[in-house]
Amino acid sequence: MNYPGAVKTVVSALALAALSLLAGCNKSAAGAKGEKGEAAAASVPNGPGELLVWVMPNSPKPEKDMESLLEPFKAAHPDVTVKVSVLDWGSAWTKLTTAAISGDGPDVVQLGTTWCPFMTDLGALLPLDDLDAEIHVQQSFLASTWAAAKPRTSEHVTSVPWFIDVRPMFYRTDVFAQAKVDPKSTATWDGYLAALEKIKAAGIKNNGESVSPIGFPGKNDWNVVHNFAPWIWSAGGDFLSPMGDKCVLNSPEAMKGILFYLDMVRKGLNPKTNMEKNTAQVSADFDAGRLATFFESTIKNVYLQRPPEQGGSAGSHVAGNYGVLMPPAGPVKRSLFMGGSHLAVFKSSKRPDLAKMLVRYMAADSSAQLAYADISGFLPALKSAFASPYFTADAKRSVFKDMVQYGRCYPAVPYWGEIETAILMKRLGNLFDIAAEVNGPYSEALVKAEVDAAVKDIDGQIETHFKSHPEQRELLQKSLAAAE
Amino acid sequence: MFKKLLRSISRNRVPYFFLLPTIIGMLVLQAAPILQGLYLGFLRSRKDKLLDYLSAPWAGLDNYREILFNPNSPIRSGLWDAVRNTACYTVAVTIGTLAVGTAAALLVNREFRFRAAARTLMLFPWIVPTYVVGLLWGFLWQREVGLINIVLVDWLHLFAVKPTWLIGPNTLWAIIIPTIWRQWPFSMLMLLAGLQGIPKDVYEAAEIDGANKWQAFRRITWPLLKPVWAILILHGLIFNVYSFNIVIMMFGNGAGYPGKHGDLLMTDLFRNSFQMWDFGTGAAMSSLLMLAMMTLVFIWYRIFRDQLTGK
Repeated sequence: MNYPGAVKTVVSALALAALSLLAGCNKSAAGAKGEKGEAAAASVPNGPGELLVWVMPNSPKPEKDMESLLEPFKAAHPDVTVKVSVLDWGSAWTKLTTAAISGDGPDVVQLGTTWCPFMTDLGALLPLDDLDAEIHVQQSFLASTWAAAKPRTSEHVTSVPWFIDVRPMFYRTDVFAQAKVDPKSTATWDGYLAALEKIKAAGIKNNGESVSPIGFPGKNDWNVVHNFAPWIWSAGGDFLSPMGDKCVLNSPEAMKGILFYLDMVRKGLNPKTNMEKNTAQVSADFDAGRLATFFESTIKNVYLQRPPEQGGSAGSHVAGNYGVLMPPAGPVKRSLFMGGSHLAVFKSSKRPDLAKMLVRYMAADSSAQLAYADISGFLPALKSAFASPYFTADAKRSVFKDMVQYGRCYPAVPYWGEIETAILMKRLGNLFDIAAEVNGPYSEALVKAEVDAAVKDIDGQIETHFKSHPEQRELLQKSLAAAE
Repeated sequence: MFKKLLRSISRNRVPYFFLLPTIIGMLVLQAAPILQGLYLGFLRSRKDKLLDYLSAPWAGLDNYREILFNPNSPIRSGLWDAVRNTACYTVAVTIGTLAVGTAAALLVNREFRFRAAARTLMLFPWIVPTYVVGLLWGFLWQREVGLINIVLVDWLHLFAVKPTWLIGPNTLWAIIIPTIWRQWPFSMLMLLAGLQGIPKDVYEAAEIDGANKWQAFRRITWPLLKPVWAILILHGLIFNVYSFNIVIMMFGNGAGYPGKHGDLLMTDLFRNSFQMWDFGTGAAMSSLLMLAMMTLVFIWYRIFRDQLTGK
């Protein structure tokens, strides 16, 4: 036997197999890119068939709740089957991007507001300008949701607002009464701070434990950036420059907001022990009566009113003694974090027209918006829904209605996702450690140094983005000019 | 050596023929992803090029330059904290796991009632998924309501003030201890198998010669278990350098950053690659890590070569 010849054959076969695999992977990716366009081009117009919808668990029984939401749509379109898949938030992003890349995704998809610019930039979403012409996104939906619907680097509307998430202040009416604090006095930062000091001085106990004036989590939490945002904005600061191409987090205004928020830890109004908790744990502290005030999504209201057999805490002492207030206004303005989700149609959808009809029903139908708000506890994105007695006749929900006009979303730029999750989560998270003095004595200089480091990281990231997308600078300028 | 191998193949064609599918499978399934990862490290594979996959623009050594020589790169931020933490974590967990595993193996190797039940129960931590371990210990470490501080401070009075575990310098202990808890049963199992492989008459002969328990351990158990320890050390080094689930879940259920005292190489890599959408640099970082691990394995082999080859 010719050994070298045999070895050569075996090695060649192995190399060929490996290369085929690599080429196959490459080809499938490239193929997917081409197929996506073809699928969109060869799409079937309205007609019988199946629509696949991907949503996240927005309510206690996501599948069942979506079924009930979609009943009127199914009744109007008996020949259409709507199949709902619920993705958990942890894995949703990976599944969505995989679907976008492979071209094998759902027809209709729920996207978090900060995801819309990225998915648009990726070219995964079908332009919805024709749907926009029918439902008039700018006129019909809350102003703060427009930016994500038509990201600043896009010339098309690529998603429609579905629901919004604002964070009112939940407070204990009995604790405020005992401390002789007028809830209305919390309307400004100074008033709120004075109220917290008064509650602390009153030394109110709950089952032998001190009731803390406020509770918010530290860095071990998904909401780090959302928690800082209203304080930064209300002080007149911002994360990015108006054009979105520079980080301005270390401006004197933004620093004022950051220091005010951290001071609540420094002054012992928010116990340092909360710095190791996450939102769910602090929320449980509120339910257990350990907190006087707490900022949480409107879904908390539904939880406190829902009977225990349905997973709520109605009937508890706290559920019978709580109220909701508008978060305080800062020295410059009142500006509140607004999150939420949009609905989009994937380019790979085989029934784009039908998918758009479903989006239209879920987002632009007032009854569907109200029905989902009632199920989920989030707020409608459609302005007309707030005229319903569901909001005007309920004291707590009317506060939510008033809050939405102050809502603000993050900049709708395609690089916001990595800035928020990879840089700000870390850098702003470190500020909590500084406030808790886990690495040594606190100083404002340490806070400033950490914020400066965040600015450096963010500017570096933006530069990296523009290196590969120089044309987007012009689009940002155009969008800024249009906004002005 | 090569000629020797070919001669061996020629003499044993049938066995090698049957081994061929496995060899091809391993090469294709392991070599292809490794080659792909190495190749990706030379590409500018960022989010805007996701659809291009391996056709992303060629970046040459840019990704490596960014990691090694650009002090302003966001990738570099916190990297050395992660390297230091990972080194301390890996050494502490590997030693801790071996120590607890050895003690437990010696214990359950003795005759006592309910020994089989005890052995089974001791495996319990090993069957708990690592992400559950992270979540579970995240609750246990809570300063005020966590069971650990209740035991240490309220019951045993070992500390005057309740320590904070999930933020600050104690963070590293908060991830080392649960990892040891999760891994020691595996070490115990391997060492128990090793102990049971030592013939009893060796101990009997030593006893006749007047050796006490310590001498028997020192002169018989210790040297005969060395090959098992060698494997466990290698397994520990590799497994712990690539540790991810426990730390990512303990700090905010995957929220991202465990702090400068708890950030490990894998969480750092995850943040800088997946959350930054920079797969080219991520692949370059992974390749550098693979190189470091290969060096480590080479050193390990030089140290334990005699034990492994039975010389």
